[in-house]
Amino acid sequence: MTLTWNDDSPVQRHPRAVWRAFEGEVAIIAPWEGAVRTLNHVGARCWELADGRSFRAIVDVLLGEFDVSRSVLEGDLRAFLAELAARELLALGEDRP
Amino acid sequence: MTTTPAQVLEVLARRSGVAAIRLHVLVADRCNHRCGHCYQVQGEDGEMSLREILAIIDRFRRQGGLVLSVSGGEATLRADLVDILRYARDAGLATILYTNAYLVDDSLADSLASCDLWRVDVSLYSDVETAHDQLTGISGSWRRTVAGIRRLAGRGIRVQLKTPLTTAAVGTTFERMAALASSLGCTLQVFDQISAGEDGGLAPLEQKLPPAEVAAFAGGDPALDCEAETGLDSALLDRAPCTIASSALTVRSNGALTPCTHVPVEIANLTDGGELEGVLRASEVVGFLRALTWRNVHGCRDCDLLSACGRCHATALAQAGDMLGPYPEACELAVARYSSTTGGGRVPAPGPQSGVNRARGPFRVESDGALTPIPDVVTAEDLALVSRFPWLRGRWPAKGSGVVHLRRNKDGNSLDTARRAP
Ligand code: SF4
Ligand code: SF4
Repeated sequence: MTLTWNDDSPVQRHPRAVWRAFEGEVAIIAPWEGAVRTLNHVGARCWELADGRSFRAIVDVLLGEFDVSRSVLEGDLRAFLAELAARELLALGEDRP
Repeated sequence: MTTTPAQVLEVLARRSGVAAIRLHVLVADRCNHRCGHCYQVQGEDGEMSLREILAIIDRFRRQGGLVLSVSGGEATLRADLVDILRYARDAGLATILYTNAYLVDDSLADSLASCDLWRVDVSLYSDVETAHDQLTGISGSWRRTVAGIRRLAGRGIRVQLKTPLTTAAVGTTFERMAALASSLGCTLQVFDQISAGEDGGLAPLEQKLPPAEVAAFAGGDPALDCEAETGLDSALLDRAPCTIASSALTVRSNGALTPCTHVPVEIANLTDGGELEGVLRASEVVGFLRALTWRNVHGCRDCDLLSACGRCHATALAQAGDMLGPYPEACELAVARYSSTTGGGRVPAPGPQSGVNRARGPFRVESDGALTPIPDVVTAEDLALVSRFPWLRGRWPAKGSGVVHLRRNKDGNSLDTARRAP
């Protein structure tokens, strides 16, 4: 499945994923897989922001926090979200609360 | 080498700044099996009420906890087990249940499926029914356990078979256990350490698969292969020997918080209230155990088999009377692991060298691959630690006495009172 995010797409963590933010990182456990996933500082911030707000809203917050151009940031964020989606860590379709 | 979830949790436990990232809670002080290798002494501690357990879950979650594992005794003997697991999950914790699955019928399996567990670990000692039943002391236990596993896995619950290498594994192999796990839709974890009893008794060690057979069994299990290389490097020596007092923190059935399942030092009793974070940060014992590295373990820090060794402080205390030194069981197993991967590992006949105990390490690997026992050097700093924490040495204290301040909870709960509603 190819997933795309346009500006208005809601981005939402999977509601069944258990996670905790620590200093500079996030640990995520999904009940359907054995692994404990950890995200570094930037990934952790994206994950924290993925609370159902729109793709554009996340980009706007991150632009204020990181020294990066909008086009680079959008590309990086899309790639990151695709990775999360591949691991079923985002709520898509019927998983969306 | 793959990193296991347990290793990731241990790394997080040490670098996250959270006082307790994982907590292991023993909810039942009783069992429906009588496994010969079991380290526990049951029926003496009493059990926390549901209300007390839920309060501990709250405190664990509040200070940043991530994973709660629930065990016993046999946890499914508690009528309120599902309430505990559901509460933990609703509190935002990843939950693991340890069970023998003997009591998992359709109704319990349905309830457990509704708890959104991260994993259920089920002990299964062999693919041979009679061998498993002989170790558990319960005729028909293999069949019921396997039926329980099928019910869990059939409901989409992730099940991991846990197979300690005991006498029940004589005649089977890793490949056969892996095939069984796969046919049941489970993963498999095999481990070769059996620990002494929590009362210091050595009877559980008699159920251990003999080292030569461990090596043969483990031939196909990469997780049990020792590192091909031997020798010491400073990075290894600066590492913690195990997860004690960090991701192994354990709450016993009476609320006693201990550094792990096996080391019988009570940090606090959590039924007395108090925030978990404050309790852990104020504890000198926790600070000391968390700071331990291989450099604190005399003998082992000089031993070329360190990377092949799976020693445990608790068994060291029980078997050698010294928590921070070598002990025969571990040395024997490390030599067997080394031998199985190198073909070497012969310990030469006794020589005139003094101060060397041939039954145990430390060992030096000679250029031809043979092992030579070398002196176990104990320093003044080692002895200073013993003066500070006398329980590091000596006879294992019996339950309820000395260092082990384990006791029944305030209400003097009997086994049945744990079933009452909060
Ligand atoms: S001395 Fe024995 S217990 Fe210590 S590392 Fe060597 S083999 Fe293991
Ligand atoms: S002392 Fe033994 S049981 Fe306790 S954490 Fe270390 S290896 Fe595990």
